[in-house]
Amino acid sequence: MPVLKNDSSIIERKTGVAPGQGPEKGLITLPGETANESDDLGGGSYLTTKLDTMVNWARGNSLWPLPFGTACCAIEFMSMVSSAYDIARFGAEVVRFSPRQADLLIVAGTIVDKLAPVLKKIYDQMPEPKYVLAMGACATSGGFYRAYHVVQGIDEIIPVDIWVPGCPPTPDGLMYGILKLKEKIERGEIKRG
Amino acid sequence: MQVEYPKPKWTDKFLLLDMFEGLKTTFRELFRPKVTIRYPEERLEPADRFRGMFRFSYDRCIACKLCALACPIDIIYIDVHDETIEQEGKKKKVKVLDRYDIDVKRCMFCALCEEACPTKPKSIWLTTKTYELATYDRNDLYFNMQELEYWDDRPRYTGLPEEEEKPRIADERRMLGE
Repeated sequence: MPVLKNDSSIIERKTGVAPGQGPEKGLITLPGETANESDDLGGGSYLTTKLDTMVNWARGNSLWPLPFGTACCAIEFMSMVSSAYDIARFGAEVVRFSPRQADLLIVAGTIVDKLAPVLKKIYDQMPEPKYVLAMGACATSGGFYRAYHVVQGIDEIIPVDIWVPGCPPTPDGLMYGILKLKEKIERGEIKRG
Repeated sequence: MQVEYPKPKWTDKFLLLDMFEGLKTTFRELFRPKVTIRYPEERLEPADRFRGMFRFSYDRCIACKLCALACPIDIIYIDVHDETIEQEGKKKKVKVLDRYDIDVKRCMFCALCEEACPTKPKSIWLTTKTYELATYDRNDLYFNMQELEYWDDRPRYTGLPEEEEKPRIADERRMLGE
């Protein structure tokens, strides 16, 4: 691993590894995943793995979002759905306000303690497969509400697949998050339920 | 106030001329330039005052901790110790940064830390025009000193073709449909 150095500084620099040089954080590889892949190519499970790939591709390209908008992040979500950014290009334009018809829960806004059971109930009502995107500083970590009444990150109550920080994130930033989630689904890393 | 609408003629029942009146807008928009920004392939150039991801410079920083004091939610963590360094025969006392961490997942990008920074040019700044911060793991959003300085080298979203690494368009008027 390369060591970062700067000779112009009089202070001796602490050595470190630049991001990207070390192992990439956040990638989830299930144990035995790569080993199985080579075995399956010659075996009888070739068809089922191909079917899995196809199903994952279809799931990634037809996310139906449910905006759980409680604050200003929902305004940016509206901007992403409407014509200026147009998430319909990735098949996620069917915004459903019933959890029974959605498979991507976009938590956009502050979740206070009183609202937490509602969010949990809505998550439970969604059919499998379901994905959760935490949008904004409040949903990600409580943000600047370091207080007794705010849930400090929604992973206290529901599992989260992708985190989008920012207060609020730009529509581009949110779209980047959805594209990353799409990548994750197409790799087949989400195996839950 | 009583509003009197024009009385419909008997020909309106089968000629449907009102419908074409409305469709005129639709046909006119067909030939106008499209307002959609096709995001991963092209993206809008943010304004110069746009506050995006942090960038930190170790060499400019004088370890005065003013940014941590200015932060309204106290997400900048700084550790400093003193050192005596011999430079050109003189003994010099310097502050050495041990730790400069920012908890970006809590940040609201208010740039008060950038305003408080006394060095010139600023040793922490947010005008990097970067907003692509989504991660699979929440702990990746806690940036330490090296990561704050060199995050630009990390691998980007891989869905882009190679030659279009940083496609940017500066035409904001296209969004307004002008």
